[in-house]
Parts: sequence; structure tokens; C-alpha cells
Amino acid sequence: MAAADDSVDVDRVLAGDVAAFERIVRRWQAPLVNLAYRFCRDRWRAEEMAQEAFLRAWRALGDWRRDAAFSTWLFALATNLYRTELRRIPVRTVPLDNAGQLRDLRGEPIGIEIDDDDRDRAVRRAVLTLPAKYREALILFYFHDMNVRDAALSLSLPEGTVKARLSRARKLLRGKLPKEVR
Amino acid sequence: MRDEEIDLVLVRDDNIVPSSGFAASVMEAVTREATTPPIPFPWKRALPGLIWCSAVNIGFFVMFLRSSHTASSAPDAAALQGVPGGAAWIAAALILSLVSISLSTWIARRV
Repeated sequence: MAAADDSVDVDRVLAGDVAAFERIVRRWQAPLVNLAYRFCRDRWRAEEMAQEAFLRAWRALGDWRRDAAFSTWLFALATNLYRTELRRIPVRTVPLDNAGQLRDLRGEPIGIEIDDDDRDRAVRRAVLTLPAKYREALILFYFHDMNVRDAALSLSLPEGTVKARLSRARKLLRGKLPKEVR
Repeated sequence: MRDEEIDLVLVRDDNIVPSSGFAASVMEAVTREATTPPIPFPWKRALPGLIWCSAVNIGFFVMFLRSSHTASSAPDAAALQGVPGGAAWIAAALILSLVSISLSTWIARRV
């Protein structure tokens, strides 16, 4: 249903109905903002990047070839923009190794229990510290609910390359996690 | 952590809700762009440069014609061999200019 709606709205926009683009924005704003958020973990910046992605989509709407779903085209365009933006201004991350260790009054390291939320946060932070090509593969793979084909389409890469990068990314990720989580 | 545990953590990542004014803000930017006329080419600024380039090209062309005329009037075999070589250079320069113009137009269209 959404695919048919997209096609109708794109036709209307191309015919000069600017307001039809609002329906496209409302339909895809959450996925595009969330994809941007996974790239930068900054709500304000995510919305800014998503807005730029919509603007570019509006300018390039005529380039959408109907052989692929509108969402595939839109995600590829947004991914390309987010990657470029983050290479231009990278996310500021603190190396997890520098986070320090809690010590007791005698200066001895304290063995701390890490709950699930802490572990999840540590894993997500570690993703941002990966080299760009592995980080992007990982983000797109999980954003598309672990669908390698969709991730590959968004990244404009062959599926085999994405699989290889995912495997390497997981290894690197494990190495970047704090000892308590590993 | 095993792969399955990493999968579990990353697949159930937090989702954020776009702020209430997000769509309106996007549409404002789109409408602004749709109603703003495209920036006209700055002919007034470009004209002196274009005239200068044309003059230089015409100068070179005249020089080439003169040198080829001199070469054809003199029975020098070496000079005669130089004429097709000069023509090849001019053809190469023209092709290079064409490629350069096409590339810059293509880049400008994509930005």
C-alpha cells in the first residue's frame, strides 16, 4: 500500500504539486530520522541530516527509476548523505578504554556488576568507534532488521561485501567492548 | 559476547520520534526552494574572461595558420611532417575542453 502511495505522490510532485511531498515526508520521517540517529546518536543532528536528506530527495525525485521500491531509493540516498556528513564532521566519541575503572578506598579496582542497560549502551557506543566501512555495514544491517540484501542496497555494495564487513565488524566490536561486557 | 547477543542488542535499538515540527520544517525548506527562482548565470562577470579566452584562442589559431602556411610554402620535409602533429594537438585540446565542460556541468547538476 505504502509503495503505491509513494508512486502516486511522486507523480503528483513531479507534476508540480509541492504539497504532495508532505505526505512522503510524513510517511518516511521516522525511519529517516532514526537511521540518522543510529549514525550519530545525537537527536538534533539526526533531524538536521534527515531534513537535508528529504531536500535532496525532493531535488532528485525525477531520478527515481521505478524498478526499485521508493524506500530503497530513499534509504540509499539518505545513507549516502549521512556517510558523507559523518566523514566531514565525525561523531565525538570517548574511547571506552579511557572510561576509567572504579576503585575502592584502598585504590583496588572494584569488580562491578553491569546490568543489561549498561551493556546495551556500551555495545551501541562501541559501534560508533568502529572504522567507517564496518560501522556503516553494521548500522544498516540492524536498521533493516538484519536483512543483508536491504543493507547492501542502501550501501550500494554487493551482498558478499556486506557479509564480509559484518563478520569483521563483529570481531572488531568485541575487541572494543569493556572487559566486563566482553 | 556471542554473535547472537550482539544481534539482540543492536536489533532492538532505541527508536526516537521526530519532533512535532519536523515535517513542517522540511516542507518550509522545500517550499522555499521551490519558490526561489534559480540563480541566473553571471554573464556580466563572466564576459571579460570569455572575451579574453576567445582572443587567446583566435590568436593561437592565427599563429597556427601562419606557421602551416609558411611550412607549406617551404619545401622542408621536417616542417611538413610537423603540420599533422600540430593538428593532432589542437584536436586533443578541443577534446580535453569538451570533457572538462561536460564534467563540470555534470558535477554542477548533481550538487
